[in-house]
Amino acid sequence: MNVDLLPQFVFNGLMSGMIYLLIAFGISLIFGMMDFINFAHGTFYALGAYLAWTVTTLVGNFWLALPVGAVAVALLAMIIETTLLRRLHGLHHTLQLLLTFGVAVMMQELIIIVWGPIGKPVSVPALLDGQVNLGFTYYPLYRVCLVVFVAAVAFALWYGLEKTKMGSLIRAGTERAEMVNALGINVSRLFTGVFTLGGFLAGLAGVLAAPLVGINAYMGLDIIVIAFVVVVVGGMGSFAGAVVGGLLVGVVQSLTGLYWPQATDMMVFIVMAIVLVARPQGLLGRA
Amino acid sequence: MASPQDGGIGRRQFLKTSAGFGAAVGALGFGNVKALAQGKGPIILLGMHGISGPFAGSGQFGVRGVEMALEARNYTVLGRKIEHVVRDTELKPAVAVRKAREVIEDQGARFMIGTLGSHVALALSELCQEKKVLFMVGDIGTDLLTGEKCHQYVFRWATQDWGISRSAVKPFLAKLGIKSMSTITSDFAWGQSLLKATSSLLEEAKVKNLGNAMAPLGESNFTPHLLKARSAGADAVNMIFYGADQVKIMKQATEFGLKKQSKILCSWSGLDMLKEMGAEVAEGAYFGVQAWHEVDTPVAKHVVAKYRAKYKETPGYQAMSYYTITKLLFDQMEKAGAAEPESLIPRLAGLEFDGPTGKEMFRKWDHQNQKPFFLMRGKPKSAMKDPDDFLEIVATEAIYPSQAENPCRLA
Repeated sequence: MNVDLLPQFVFNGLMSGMIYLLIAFGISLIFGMMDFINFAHGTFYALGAYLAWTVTTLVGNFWLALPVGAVAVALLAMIIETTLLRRLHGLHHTLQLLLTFGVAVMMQELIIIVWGPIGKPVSVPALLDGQVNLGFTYYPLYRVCLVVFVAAVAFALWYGLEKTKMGSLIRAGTERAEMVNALGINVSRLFTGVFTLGGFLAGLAGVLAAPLVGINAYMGLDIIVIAFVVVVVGGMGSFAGAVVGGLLVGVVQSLTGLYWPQATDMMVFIVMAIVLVARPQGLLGRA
Repeated sequence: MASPQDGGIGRRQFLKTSAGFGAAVGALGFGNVKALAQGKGPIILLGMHGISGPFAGSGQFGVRGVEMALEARNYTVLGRKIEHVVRDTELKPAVAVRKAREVIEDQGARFMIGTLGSHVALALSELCQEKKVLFMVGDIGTDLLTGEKCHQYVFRWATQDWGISRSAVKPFLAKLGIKSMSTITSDFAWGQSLLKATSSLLEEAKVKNLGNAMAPLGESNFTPHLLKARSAGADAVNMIFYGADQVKIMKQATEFGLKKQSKILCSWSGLDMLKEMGAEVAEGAYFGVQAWHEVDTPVAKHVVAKYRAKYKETPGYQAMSYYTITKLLFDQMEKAGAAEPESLIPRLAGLEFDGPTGKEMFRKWDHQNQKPFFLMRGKPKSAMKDPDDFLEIVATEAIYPSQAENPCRLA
């Protein structure tokens, strides 16, 4: 029954879940505010990873890649929102969904044209290379630090959403966009801000994930599916839901790997199906 | 049907128009088929390559290898133009078969080259048997292709899984004194085939098999499987993955310190995967390779030089293998003076030729290429002569199932 391996697998699941959070935040935020799934989110993540490779190759500094990757992708997201998505405000959300899907495919092909079809390597920064002894397991130091960083980002996001005026506007916009508009708040600018923030988070996630996975043009597809599951399980538009969903998906995946390895992907979707049947709005989503 | 008086077209007019249209289409179609039958039209070489998805890097090398061979003969054979019609299999058998069938039926293709993904290759091979299309397979490992599911119309260049297990895994076990091994396997046709071959080898070699974990194709998080492998504590961990999956698991295995505890073997790798994982990850790990750009053979040197001149980068073995089998196909077509598969099959079966690994041969009785396979080890970055000098040769073997061991009986 491998019971003595349980603690390290549960821990591994929590760690993996925290990494999924960073992608899920952006999708959840955009869905909550703009009411559609941003299919380009995975490609933003891939672009962040490629920028990490470019910066580390050019200047040999991974830490510089963090702000460069995140900010560059955020700027791209802002451009896409103001030049393309804004034209579809007020129209059916399916059109925005289709547009972001088209953007995703286009960006994927552009990545191949610019960087080639063969993937790129990014190493774990030397400072964080190696494993740390946690008592019950040895765990990669980079992942432990990554989780701490993600927790800090999550706190910063929570603080921004809960304790600032901008945050209250965003939260109000997720609940009643029409009312916020009627109160004289420029909702279009709010949408742009949220989409840009989503891009920032996706780019940041891409840079951070680059040392952990192979960087290739199709990596966005890998992550968007799992991120979507996290958001659905946690509850669309719910910040706390993204946290709970991420951790749950990570733990389920990890424990399935222990007892039924070939079903790690399938089990995640089974959990999603159970949640949708029992509670269609997600664990912490609005009814 | 509405009558002319009602504003509709009459039955007579409809029949006339349809007949005229049908005749025009038929003439065009018949004209094409007739041209082909008389050997006047182009020879279609259908390239079924995996150029998107997790194996896309390998797919690109393969397409370029074919193109280079066709360019060398100016896309011409027997006074006819050669058209390389490329279709992306998307690594999905149903998609691949649909696309291939369209080209075979609409354009009269009788020669196919490719592909990636054993599950795709098996489906395409079945189609080729049905349609009597000669299928030159480059990069596929499943034993079934030139085993139980062999037929006259398929020839395979790559060493198959049974051969890989004996030519690479066996020397790996022997040279490193491995007493126990665990495996992590990609759960699709090729992974299952190589796992079966490896498991039988472990039994033969009396090496303790500490179990296997199956991972879905396209998995991104291998950490549970790696934790399990680390807990098993085997002398060696064999990672049966290809493409982006191999890169991900190797990076994560390095992160989790698995290389410090166990010897790592990736039974089948290539330059595209090594470039993506990087020298630090490849260092100290062992890799099975079908061919390598630094191997000193005339074909390897020729293809590498041409590829570098054209594409300004070093080719993976796929470019060399596809160059070789494309050249072989059309050279034999020229010698036979005929462009039908039935004229070429007897010429290819039993043919000895110069390949990227040296002297190679398509065996008469299973159409499997018999050639060396390499066990290689990742060099430290400081020892690399250039950015592509990832590996050094540890062993070279060419061990294949005998006629008694292989259920295929083509001759």
